Amino acid sequence: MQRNWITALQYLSICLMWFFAAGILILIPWLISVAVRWHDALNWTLVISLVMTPVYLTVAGTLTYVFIGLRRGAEPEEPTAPAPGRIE
Amino acid sequence: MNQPVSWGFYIINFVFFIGISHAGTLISAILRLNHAEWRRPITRMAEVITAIVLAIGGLHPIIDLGRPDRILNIFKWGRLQSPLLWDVMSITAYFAASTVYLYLPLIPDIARLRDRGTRPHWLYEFLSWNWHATPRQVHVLSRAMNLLMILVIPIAVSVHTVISYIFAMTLEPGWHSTIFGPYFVAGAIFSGIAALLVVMIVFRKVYHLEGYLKQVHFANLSKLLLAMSAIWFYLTFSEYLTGFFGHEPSELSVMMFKLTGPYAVPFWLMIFLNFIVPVALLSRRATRTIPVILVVSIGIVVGMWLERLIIVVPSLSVPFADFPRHPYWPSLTEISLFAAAVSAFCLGFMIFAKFFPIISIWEIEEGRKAAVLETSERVASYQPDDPRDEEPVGGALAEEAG
Repeated sequence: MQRNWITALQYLSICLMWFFAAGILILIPWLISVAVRWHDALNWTLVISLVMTPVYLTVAGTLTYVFIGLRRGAEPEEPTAPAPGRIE
Repeated sequence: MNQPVSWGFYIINFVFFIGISHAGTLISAILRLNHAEWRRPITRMAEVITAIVLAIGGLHPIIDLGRPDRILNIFKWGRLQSPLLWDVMSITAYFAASTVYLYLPLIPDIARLRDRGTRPHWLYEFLSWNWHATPRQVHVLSRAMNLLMILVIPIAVSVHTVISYIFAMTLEPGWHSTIFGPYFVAGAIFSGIAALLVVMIVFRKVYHLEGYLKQVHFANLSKLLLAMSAIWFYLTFSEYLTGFFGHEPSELSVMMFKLTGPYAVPFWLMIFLNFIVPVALLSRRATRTIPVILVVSIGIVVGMWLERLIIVVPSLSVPFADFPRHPYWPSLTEISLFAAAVSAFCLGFMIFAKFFPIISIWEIEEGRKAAVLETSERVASYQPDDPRDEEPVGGALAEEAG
């Protein structure tokens, strides 16, 4: 029972990371629209957006990659790798 | 808000704490990238410093607003072309990346605590993400750490560059400078290393980590500190010399306010603590001892705080417009909040150390195995080949001659 709760919490934590990244990715187009409405240095706004967007996507993507990779690669019965963190 | 200097203690502390944050992720990532073997016992501490001080530093501009609810205006009407919003974006990205960069190398150690049945068990079960050190898991984690290691370095550099832009993008005398980006980044790394050394020495003493944090770690970091002190002084000298040589009245009045005016004491104390003391004490092997390194590092942390004061306040105390000069004195609330921020840092570090290993256990083990393997390979490379494996050269030659 507790294990199910922990698994659910783990999935929730990944969803929260994507929620955060999605929040930023929604905010950026909104701020671009504000710049358009106010005729306010749109080119700079676009440049900053292009720089910032991949950063958040990469961080969220890396965390998801690790989460899925560790779940798929889990073989608790017979661990074979010596390091890192192998329990002797 | 009762005095004309609108950016005071809160912004000084913001720049100071964000600067300290460069201790961690940047130093840890650079050392990992260079395969510096001596890094292993210090990376975790450095990464924890980053995560904690970023959270503390990031709160200061919100306090500075006076009306924290106005932070919501960023989401409603933020101007993405403003350096202030670049700052929000870059610090958020840095905080996210450095927290993930702290967490990923922590997973094997969390799994170890889980397997030992350490309480609260659910916490370690939750955070270990099913880690059992299978080859696939090791491969996935190594790839992710390598990717983040490379990503985090430009983000860390960009964060302090963007903070410098808040000042440099204005036309304010004393702020409008092209070298503010590298100047801020160098200062941040400098103060970060000093803060890391203070934390290392304190933890070494309190937790008796003498077997892990050895003289070589302090010697190497203090040499790095000495190099950063020289770079910092060079950039400070360039910054002030160009300003002085130009002789522009507005620039000169701010400069004289710092050099001989009400801010002369913090200015010269900054030079003394950040350059004269480190060069005098760290350049000689005899004085490069742990107690001396602690004193020098504390001095540098104080000196770098004074540097932030010298950058932020005098330009606002000598207004560009036709207003009277007004030296800045912090209020009791500002001083109390600074003390609270320092206390929050100590508390955060102690809470982390209570639940998680402050030294990366698996990295130490990996280092030991790598050292044995490397030594045996190196010795084997210059030892004669084993005669049982191959036919002896002498024998073949004798046979041919015969």
